[in-house]
Amino acid sequence: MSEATAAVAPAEAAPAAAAHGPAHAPAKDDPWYGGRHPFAIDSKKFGMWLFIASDSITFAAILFAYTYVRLSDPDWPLVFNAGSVALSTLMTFVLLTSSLTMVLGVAAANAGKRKQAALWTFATALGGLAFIVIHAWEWSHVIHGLPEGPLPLMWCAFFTATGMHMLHVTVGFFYLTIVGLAYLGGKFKPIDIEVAGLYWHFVDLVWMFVFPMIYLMSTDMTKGFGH
Amino acid sequence: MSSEAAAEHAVHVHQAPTNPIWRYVFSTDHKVIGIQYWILALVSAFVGMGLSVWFRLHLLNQGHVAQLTDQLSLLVEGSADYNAIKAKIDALQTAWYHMEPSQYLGILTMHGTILVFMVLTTAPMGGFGNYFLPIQVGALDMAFPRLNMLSFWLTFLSFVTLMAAFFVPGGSPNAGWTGYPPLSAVPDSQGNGYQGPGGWGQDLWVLSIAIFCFASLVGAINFIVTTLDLRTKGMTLMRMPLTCWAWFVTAILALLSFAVLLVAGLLLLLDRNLGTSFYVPGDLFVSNKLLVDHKGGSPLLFQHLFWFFGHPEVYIAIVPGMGLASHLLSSFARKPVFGYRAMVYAIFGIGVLGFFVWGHHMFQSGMSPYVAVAFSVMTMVVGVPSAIKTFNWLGTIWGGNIRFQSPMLYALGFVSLFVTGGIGGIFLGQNAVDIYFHDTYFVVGHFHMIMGVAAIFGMFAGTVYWFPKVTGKMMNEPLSQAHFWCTFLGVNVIFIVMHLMGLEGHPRRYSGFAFEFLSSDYMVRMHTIVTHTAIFTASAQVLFLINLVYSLAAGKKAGDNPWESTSLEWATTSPPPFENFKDGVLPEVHHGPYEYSVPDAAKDYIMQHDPPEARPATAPAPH
Amino acid sequence: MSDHAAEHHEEHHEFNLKENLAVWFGLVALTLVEVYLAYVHLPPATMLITLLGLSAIKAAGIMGVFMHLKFERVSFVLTLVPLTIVTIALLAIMFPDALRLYMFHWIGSPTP
Ligand code: HEM
Ligand SMILES: [Cu+2]
Repeated sequence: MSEATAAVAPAEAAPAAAAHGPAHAPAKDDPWYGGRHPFAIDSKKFGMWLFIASDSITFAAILFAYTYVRLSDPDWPLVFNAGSVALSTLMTFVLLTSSLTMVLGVAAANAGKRKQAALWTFATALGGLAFIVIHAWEWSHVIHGLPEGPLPLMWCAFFTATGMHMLHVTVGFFYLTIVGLAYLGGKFKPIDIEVAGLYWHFVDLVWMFVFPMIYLMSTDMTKGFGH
Repeated sequence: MSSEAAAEHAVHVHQAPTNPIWRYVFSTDHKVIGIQYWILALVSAFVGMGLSVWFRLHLLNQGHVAQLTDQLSLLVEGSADYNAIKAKIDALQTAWYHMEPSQYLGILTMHGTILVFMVLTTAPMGGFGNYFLPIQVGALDMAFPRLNMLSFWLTFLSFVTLMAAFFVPGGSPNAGWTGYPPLSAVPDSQGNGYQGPGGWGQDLWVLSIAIFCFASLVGAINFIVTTLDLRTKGMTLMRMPLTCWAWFVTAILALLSFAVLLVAGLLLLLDRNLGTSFYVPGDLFVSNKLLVDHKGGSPLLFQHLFWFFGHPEVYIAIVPGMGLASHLLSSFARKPVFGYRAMVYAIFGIGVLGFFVWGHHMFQSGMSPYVAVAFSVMTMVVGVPSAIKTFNWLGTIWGGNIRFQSPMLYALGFVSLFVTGGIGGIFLGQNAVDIYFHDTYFVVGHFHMIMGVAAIFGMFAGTVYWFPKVTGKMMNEPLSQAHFWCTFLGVNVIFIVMHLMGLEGHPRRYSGFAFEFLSSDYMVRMHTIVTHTAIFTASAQVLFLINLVYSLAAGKKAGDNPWESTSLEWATTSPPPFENFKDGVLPEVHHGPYEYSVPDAAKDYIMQHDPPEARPATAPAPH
Repeated sequence: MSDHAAEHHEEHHEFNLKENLAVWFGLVALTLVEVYLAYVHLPPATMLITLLGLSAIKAAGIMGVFMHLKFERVSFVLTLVPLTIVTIALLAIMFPDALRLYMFHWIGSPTP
C-alpha cells in the first residue's frame, strides 16, 4: 500500500482507487504479483532444482539406512584398504574435474559459443564414462571376492549406495550426450545445457557424501594396498 | 527490474492437435490428463470397493461358522441337530465368497493399496488438480505439459503392474498396504501354499509403488512450478483460491516424501531379489531355514522409511479435500472464507508438522520409548492447525446464506467426517492409549473415517461442483442428494461400529475368529451390521454412476458460472476451450478469491477477474 | 509455457573463471584432507562428524558456485534449501532406535 493514498481522505480516495486500484491492492512491481517468474529463473531450471531437492532426499534416505544398519551392529567390518581408497579418490577426482568442464560448457553456451559448449559437454560426459568404467572394474573385483552365503550388510550398503549413484551417472552420461548433440544441432537452447549441468553437479555432489561415508568410514588403512 | 521482465512469460497459443490420439489419449493438455487421472481413480475406486464387499461377506460368513462350531461342540456327534448344523457349516465354507486366510490377506492388501495409491493419491491431485490448478491461477497449461503426460502414463503403468499381481503365480501380495517386512521381504514367506520361486505378487507390488513414486515426483514438480511461475497478472499468492494453496502444499509433501518411499521400496526389492538383508533380521527362521547368518538388518528400518512417507501421504490424500471444502463452504454460504490467512498458515502448518509425527504408527513396534514420547507430543500438536481449520470452516458458514446444493452437502460431509475421524486420531496419538488400540478395528475405523471417506467426500464434492465446467452439463440434483444421504449415513454406521469393535479389542487383519471373544454374540452382531451396511453403501454408489452417465447424456445445460462462484475457472466457457481462456488471452486478476456478499457491491459476489471498480471503495479491505 | 521465453532475458551473472577454478581446487584439497583423515585413526563418531562437516563445505561450494545458487535470489534459496535440509535432518530421528538394536546385538553377541 502506498503511503500517499493512505493519507488522503476517503472522499478523494474513491476516484483514485478507481484509477489505480484500491489502496490495498498489491504492488504491481512485486516479484510475486503474478505474470512473471518470482525467482527470475527459467521454469526448467526451477523444475530441475526441485528434482534435485527430492533426489537428494532419496540419497539421504539410502545413506541413513546404511547408517542405521551400521549403528545397530557392534562389530561392523572395515572392509576397505589403502588400495580401494586410492581408487575411489581417483574416481572422486574424475567426477570433480568433470564438474569443472561442465561449468565451462555452461559458460560457453551462455556466451553463445555453440561448438565450444558442446565440446565441453561431451568432455563432461566422457568424464562420467571414465567414472563408470573405473567403478565397474571395482565392482567386479568386489563381487569376485565376496564370501559364500548371505551377503554381509556392509556389502549390501555398498552396492545399494554406489549402485544408485552409478545409475545416476549413467543416466547423466546419456542425458549430457543427447543435450550436447541437440544443442549442437540447434534444437536445444543454452538453458537446456544449464539444466543438464545442474543435474551433473548434483551427481557430483552426492558422491561427496557417498565417498566419505561408504569408503572412508569403512577403511582400515593398515591393510595396505593388497586385497 | 530487467530480470523480472526477463522471466515474464510469453503467451504462446498452441493449436489443439487434430489427431484424436494426440488430442485425447497421449495428450499433453492438462484438462485431458486431469480427466484421465479421474477415470483411473474411478475405476480403481470401484475395484477396491468390490474387493472390500467381498471380504466383508467372507468375514460375516466366518463369524457364523465360528458360532455354529461353538454350538456343534455342545451336541452329540451324529445326532440330527448335529448333522443339520454340520451341513450348514459346510455350506458356508464352500460359499463363493469364502476365502483362505492367505487369500483374505491378499485381497485386503490389494484393497488398501489400490485405494490409497490409485484413488486417494491420484484423483485429488492428478485429477482435479491437473484440470483446475492451471485454470484457477490463470495459465494456459501446466509448466511442463510433456512431463505431465509422462506422469499420467507412469501412473497408469503402475496401476497395470499392481493389477497384474492378482494373476501371477503365488497370487496377490499379503503383507498389507504397508508392506511390512519380514513377511514382504522374504520371498517364500507368503504362506499361501504356493511352491514356486517366491511369490511375484509382492515384487509387482513393490515395482508398482516404485513407478508410482516416480510419477508422483514428476507430477509434484509440475504442480509447484506451475503454482509459483505461471500465475497470471494480479494473482498474488494471497489471492489464490484455497484449492490452489492445498494443491501446492500437497505437491511439496509429495516432492519430499515419495523420495523416501522410493528408497523403502528399493531396499525391499533388493532384499527380495538380490540377496541383501536390510530388513531381514538375524536369527530369523522361515520353513526351518536360517535366513541370514549375520546380525541382519531391521524390519524397523522399513517401518521408519515407510511411515516417514506414510504420514505425509495421508495428508496428501486429505489436504486437497480441505482446500476444496474451504472453497465450497465459502461459495455456498455466500460468505468470504473465515480467516483466509489463518487457513493458509494452517495448511502449511499441517504440512510441516506432518513430517514430525510418523512414529505414531510405530508405538507398538519396539522402537525407542524416548522417541515415542516425542512423536506422541508432536502428534498432539498437529491437532492445533487441524482445529484452526475446523473452526474456520464453522466460522465460514456461521450466519451464512447457505445454499444446500449437493456440492455443499458433500463439503459439509467432509467436515463432519474429518472431525469424527480426527477425534479418533487424538486417542491413537497418545502413546499409552495406542498400546491398547494399535492393530485393532479402532485404527481401521479411524483411518477409514478420515482418509477412506472424508477424502472421498472431497472427491464427490469436486465432481459435482466441477462437472458442469468439465462437461457443460449439470449433474442431477435429486440423484446427488440421494447418493449423499445414503453414503453419509452408511459410512458413519460402518466406521463408528468399527470403532466400537476396536474398543472391545477386535484385532484387524484377521480372516477368522481365532479367539472365543471374537465369536461372541456382540462381535458377530457388529460384523453383521458392518457387512450389511457395507453392501448397502456400496450399492448406493450405483446412484453416483447412474448420475454420471445420465447427466453426461441428458443433464441440464450449464452456464459458464452455474454456482455463482468467483474463481477463474468460472470466467471461461463450460467446457473451457483448448487454450483455457478465449483466444488464449489470460485474464487479469483484481480481487481476492472469496469476495462474496461484499457490502455495497452490485452483485453478491465479485469474480476475481472483475474490474477493480467492481469492489466499492467503501467496502472494508479484504482479508 | 515459458519454455522458450527466458533465454534472452534471464539475468546472467558474469562468468568468473578464477572463482570456479578456485572452487575446484578447494574441492580437490578437501578431498585429500578427508583421505588423510582416514590414515589418522579417529574414533568413528568424531571421524563421521568431521567428514560430514567437510562434505557439507564441499557441497556448499558445488551448489553455491558450480550450480549458481549463490547468484540466485534469496527467496529462491530460502524456498529450496531449508526445506530439503530439514527433511533430511528429520531422518536422524531413526538413530535412537538403531542404538537400541546395537544394545540388543551387543548383549546377544558372543564377542562383545
Ligand atoms: C489430528 C489428526 C490425526 C491424528 C492425531 C492421527 C493419529 C493416528 C495414529 C496415532 C495412528 C496410528 C494408530 C495405530 O496404528 O495404532 C493413525 C493411523 C492412521 N491414520 Fe491418523 N491421525 C490423524 C489424522 C489422520 C488423517 C487426516 C488421515 C488421512 C487422511 C489419517 C490416516 C491414517 C491412516 C491411514 C492410519 C493407519 C495406517 C495403517 O496402520 O494402516 N489420520 N492415525
Ligand atoms: Cu499418521
